[in-house]
Amino acid sequence: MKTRIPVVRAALAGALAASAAACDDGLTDLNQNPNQPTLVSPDYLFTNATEAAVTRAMGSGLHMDLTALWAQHYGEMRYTEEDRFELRDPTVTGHWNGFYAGPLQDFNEVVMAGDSLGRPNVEAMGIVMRSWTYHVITDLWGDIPYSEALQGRVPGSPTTAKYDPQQTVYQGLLSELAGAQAMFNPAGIRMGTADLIYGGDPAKWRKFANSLRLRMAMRMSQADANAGRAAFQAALAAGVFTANADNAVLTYVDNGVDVHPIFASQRAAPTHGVNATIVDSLKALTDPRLGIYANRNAGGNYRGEIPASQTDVSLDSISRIGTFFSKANAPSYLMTYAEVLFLQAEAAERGWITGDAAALYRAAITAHMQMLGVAPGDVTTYLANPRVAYAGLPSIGLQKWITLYGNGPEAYAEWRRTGYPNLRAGPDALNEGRIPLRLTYPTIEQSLNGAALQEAVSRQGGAGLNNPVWWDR
Amino acid sequence: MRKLGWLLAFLALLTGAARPAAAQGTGTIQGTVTDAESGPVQGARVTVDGTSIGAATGADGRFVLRGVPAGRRTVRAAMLGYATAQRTVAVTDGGTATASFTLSAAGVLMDEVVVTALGITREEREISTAVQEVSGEDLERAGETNLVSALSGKVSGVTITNSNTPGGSARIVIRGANSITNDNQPLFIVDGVPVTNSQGGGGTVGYNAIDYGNVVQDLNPADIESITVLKGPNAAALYGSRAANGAVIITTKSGRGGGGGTVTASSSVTFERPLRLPDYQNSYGQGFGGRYGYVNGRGGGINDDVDESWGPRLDNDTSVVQFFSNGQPAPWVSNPNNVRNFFETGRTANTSAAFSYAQDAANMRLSVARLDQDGTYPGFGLTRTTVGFNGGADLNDRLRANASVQYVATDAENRPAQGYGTDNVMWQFLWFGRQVDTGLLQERLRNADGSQYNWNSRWNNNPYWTATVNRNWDTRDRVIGNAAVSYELASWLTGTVRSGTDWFEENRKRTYEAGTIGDSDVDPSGAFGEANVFSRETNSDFLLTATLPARGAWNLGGHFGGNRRDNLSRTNSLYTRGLAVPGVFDANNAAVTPQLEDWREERRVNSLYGMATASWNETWFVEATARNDWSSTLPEGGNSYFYPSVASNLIFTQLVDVPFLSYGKVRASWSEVGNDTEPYQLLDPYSADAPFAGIPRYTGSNLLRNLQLRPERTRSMEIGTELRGLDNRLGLEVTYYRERTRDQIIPVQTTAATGFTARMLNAGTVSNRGVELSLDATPLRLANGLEWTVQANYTRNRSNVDALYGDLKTLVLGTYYNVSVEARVGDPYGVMYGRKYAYDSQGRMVLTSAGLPVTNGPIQRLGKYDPDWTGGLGSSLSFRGVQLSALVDMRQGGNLYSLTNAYGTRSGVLARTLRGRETRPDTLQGNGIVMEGVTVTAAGDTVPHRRRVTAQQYHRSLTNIAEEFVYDASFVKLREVRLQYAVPARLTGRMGVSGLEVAVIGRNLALWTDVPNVDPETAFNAGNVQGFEYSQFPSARSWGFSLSVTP
Repeated sequence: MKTRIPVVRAALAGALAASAAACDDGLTDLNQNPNQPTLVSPDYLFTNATEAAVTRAMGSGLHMDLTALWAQHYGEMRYTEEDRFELRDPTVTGHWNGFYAGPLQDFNEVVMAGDSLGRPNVEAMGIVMRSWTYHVITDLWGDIPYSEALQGRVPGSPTTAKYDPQQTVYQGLLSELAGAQAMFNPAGIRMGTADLIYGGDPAKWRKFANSLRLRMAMRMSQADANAGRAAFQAALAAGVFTANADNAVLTYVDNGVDVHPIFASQRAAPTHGVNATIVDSLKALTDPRLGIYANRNAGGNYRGEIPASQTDVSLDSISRIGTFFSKANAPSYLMTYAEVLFLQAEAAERGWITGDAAALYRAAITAHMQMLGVAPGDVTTYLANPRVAYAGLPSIGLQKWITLYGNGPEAYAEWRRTGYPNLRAGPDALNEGRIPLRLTYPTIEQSLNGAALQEAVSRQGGAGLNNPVWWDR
Repeated sequence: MRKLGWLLAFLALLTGAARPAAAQGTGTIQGTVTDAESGPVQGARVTVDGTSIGAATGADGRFVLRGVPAGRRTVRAAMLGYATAQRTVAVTDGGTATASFTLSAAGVLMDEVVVTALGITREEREISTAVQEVSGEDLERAGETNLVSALSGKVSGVTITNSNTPGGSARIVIRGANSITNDNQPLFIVDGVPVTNSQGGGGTVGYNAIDYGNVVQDLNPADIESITVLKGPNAAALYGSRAANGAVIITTKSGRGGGGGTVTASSSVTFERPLRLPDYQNSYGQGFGGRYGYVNGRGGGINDDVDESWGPRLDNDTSVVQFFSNGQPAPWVSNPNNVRNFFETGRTANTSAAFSYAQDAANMRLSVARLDQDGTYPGFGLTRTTVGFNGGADLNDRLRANASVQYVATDAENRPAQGYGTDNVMWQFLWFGRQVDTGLLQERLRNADGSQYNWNSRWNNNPYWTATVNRNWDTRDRVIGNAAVSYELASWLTGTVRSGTDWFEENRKRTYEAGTIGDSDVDPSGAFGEANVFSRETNSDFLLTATLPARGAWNLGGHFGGNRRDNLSRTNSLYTRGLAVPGVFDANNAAVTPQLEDWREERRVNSLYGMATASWNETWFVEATARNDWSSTLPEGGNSYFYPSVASNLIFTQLVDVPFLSYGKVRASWSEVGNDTEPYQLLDPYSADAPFAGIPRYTGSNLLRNLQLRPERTRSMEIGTELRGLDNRLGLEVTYYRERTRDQIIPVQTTAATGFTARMLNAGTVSNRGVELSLDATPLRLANGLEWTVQANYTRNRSNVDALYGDLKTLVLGTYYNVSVEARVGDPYGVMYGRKYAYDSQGRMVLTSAGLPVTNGPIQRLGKYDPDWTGGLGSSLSFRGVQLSALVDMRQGGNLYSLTNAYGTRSGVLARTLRGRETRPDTLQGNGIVMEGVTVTAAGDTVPHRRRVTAQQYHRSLTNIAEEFVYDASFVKLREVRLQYAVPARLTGRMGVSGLEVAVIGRNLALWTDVPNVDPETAFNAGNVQGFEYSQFPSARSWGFSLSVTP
């Protein structure tokens, strides 16, 4: 039986190995991700989400390749699909996913973390930026998921989310902003440099929250004027921008990588020029901002790109986007003091508030030119120009459209609301020769959120490019 | 499941303790193997049934088998090209029995010994699942440097998609894709130890990516004894999770020869040219609307930035200012071979030498090989040096040790970039002025000031700048090795302990010279990127093998073993888009903050497994396996999973006489395999972005992780038969299988409105069923030595996505340029969706008011990437040392979306864009095309519409109509042709060598397909998104010579 012992040993060794396999406590530890944290400070999320949201909304995507084209601030020089209203589904899907699963979700986590960490300033900043983002997208898509959105982390939550009527979204955002502006406490813990917009200053954030309410309230001027007026008055009373120093602006950095997205997209091969509509408008007004909005062409002149055209002109004959807006360290203005003054001018004109509409109008132009560094003498000359003289809503519409250069989503929204200036589609336009009134929903929503989408589409009477959103009806 | 481990261990204990060891010792069997005509047979494998004992014969044909358990033993001698012989001898304790064999040559192999799971060699007759073997000789003869490609057409049930670039990836899938989003490629095993076949370069679908190749191609085909393909979970259940996609078992050559050493050497040289280039037009040059005039190449002239060929007519006695003409008009003439001339004649030289030595108790083999490759791409070069060792020794009667190690060093430079992007020269030739003289671009390359000399200055680099000024290098050092010790614990029980590792370290660098244009990630000062990748897999296992003494007609046996697998991978990379001093590609010279990546990943799987076998009278075989895994990637408490398999076969010709049949087997098996997931899928991570102006930042994941993941399950069954007859001149093997993978761990897409675009869930079921058929025949065999053989393989697989999650109907695997590849419920896996032409209810084409076709409505199904069937047909004619063989590879069905066609049509470079430009040279753009159809009014009515459009308008309007560029990807390829001559012994003797073989070889010599302009066999990566072609690098047609000498 001499073979017996090794056999028993082997069996024992096998048993030992078996127990080692089954009881390897190191297994679970091995699965801890050494590369990425599972918990981070809301400050880091806020920095990233702010940059991501502003870059997407006001950089090369939504701004430069869609809304600023349709508002006829910019023009595509060679590959002109978007300029001619050919909206590609991947573009739409990219923005939809990019906002919801990107900054909106991150801002949402900032709000929750601010609450649980007892940092109301951080919580309120999260609410303001989340609201700003929602406002940009509801103005583009109309009805959007809002009340049921961003619930993915809730255990057992559905994989779908219903769409809310745009009116409900507006009411919700106005109420959220009203709540947030009251939470800011200058004596509380501040965020600091992680806040790329105000360096964590609660007083400025409060003004921004109220100014956004002003913007949203005015957008309701046709759809729900009574609610708009009430919201406008409440926001104004709570304190809005009072100087250019209050402007909500993200300034990019000339370090080669954190450059302005327009600079990034144009540095290799310029694709965009300034639109002929705004070039010609500024020329007609002898507006000193022309040289800031546009660079001279190879011939030393200002010449715009005809909107929605496919003509094979020499690219060197088209004025490129002005250095102020296209340099590496260019600013992106989320909202300016000038816009707040225009909003008040319009409110005065509409009788929503008491005030001198003409004076507010002139103050708005002045504030904007000061912001751009226009010489004071040129401002005076401009205001004296009879073509600039105040003549009611059309004047506000035109001047505000000029002022919103660099903020495509807002310029496009205000053109849709007011109809000023009177923009016409270019010669080679698709979409039956009409400038679109909204974005279409991503096709993928049909598969992933079909019932909710269907309900939203029928509620809005269709969601094609020519179906207006609620406040534009 | 933790209890189960104990249970198995207890069972093992029981079998050891409860069964009284038979009071018997061991003896020795010795003998010779000879060929009736030519004398001793060297290298025949002699094995003892029911044991793992075996040896190879020496040059004198002799063998010795020690430690054979006493009793009546069946001994077999097998050798390629001969019918296996068997005889039964009585072995007594301490005695020596003699068994000598005389083999007779056979056109068809019977009872071949096959290496199966865990390295257990078994006779073909014992095997109840579908396996197929390819000999090393067949691989070497393929004249192919990528092992996966060399299997093309040789094995049924296997779909191989070859790479187009030299050194690129070849994709292999056995029996269709099972997993919705995970790797569907089989597990590769070298000498019993798993090795990685990951693809270098990561996701190479994208922009400008380089395909660094699948890493199994590191192995030198000349070192390979055999490859066994285990075609599905049934055969591979013992290998566990990763073998759910089947397994490819590679056995390297071991030492042979008796009482001394032998040396063999072989060398081959082949030359490559592009197999197929797009059919370009040569009637119209660069420009737009028929107009062109160069000023600065940046849009300063007339369309001089336009990289399309809608310009003026060529060869029309006109002169135009061009990029080389210094502002003066120059003749506007065609350059029909400007693309063809860009490609060089490639050269591949492969040299290997091996020293092999064997004595009774020890054997070893040492080999060295060197591969030198200069592809068709200018500047490309690849070298691969392989050193291999394989040795074993009987340390005493009971103890045997084996070790093998392969060291592989690969160096490559200037691999061509793939995909749709400016670094891919084929993309550049799509966005091209057809009149451009590439010879001039090569000749001048740089201007006097060192800047780029180019035909345009806006989008495209000079192709020679891309290929030879912007450079890339990569090196990979790899070691694959294992050591094993086996000890005979008892006459009926052997224990083996083995440990093996596969690790490699890879460095990749890619540089962009100052002055490179058209790339938004490269500053004018130049850029560079560098990556270091380390990968290591270590497997340690033990295996107990029991062979119980025969009881009457019954033979029983079993295996019990355990394995621990550890994977570690690390990647560090850096990219900087701008340099302080141009031309210095060093991290410290970065002008801007570089992007960094740093990733480390670890995983461990512990396993226990067992197999029990029983056979009756060498006629009926039954086996059952069980395996339990514990994986680090699954949640604690839920990380253990068990899976079994059973299989049986019957050699029915042993029971009944069937006319014409000498051998007939039916087999059936059933199995289940569990699978884990990737590391770190349980908790949501935050990922860092580079600090913004120095301020750190993080963002949440778009994928919601899941702490409740369960293992995936693949269940499969197969039935098959193997038949031989007509004096072994006809053999047929047929298998039918069904597989179903459920509870798949997949990122289920959700509306982004939830804050996440996907959630990790156990969801989704995919099933595959199919038929595999292989046939071999010897239609002609004459006494004078003339022989003609034919081999055929056929594979038909049907996949179906049975379910995803809840109401979810589709899961998008990838969307690229107007086409998405999806897993849709009720459809085969990998269906392609995109837009089609719009027609009205009467079938008339809907046009815009401008007369151009449109797409309407939702995306529709355009096709699927999986073929209906694939096949290989090989034939060989031999006569007195001369052999002529050929292999044809076929693929029927499946679709391809071709971006070469879509964008070559848009840009006007392809010959098809001459439609509408054929006549009227007096006009700028030819005669145009009359479009007839309908337009749709605002009210939705259709109104007939007829309008003449220009060729440019028409062809450019097709780009987004994906339907136009989806093709039936069927093809037939003449894969291999070989004419070889083995110099007869009487001549070699005079030359002082014992063996000499010369051959002429050709590979990928001809292609027949309906797909225009490209090779439909295209894989720019080895992932699940297939069926796309993006400005493909032309695959190579090669021919050359080989020589092999045995001194």
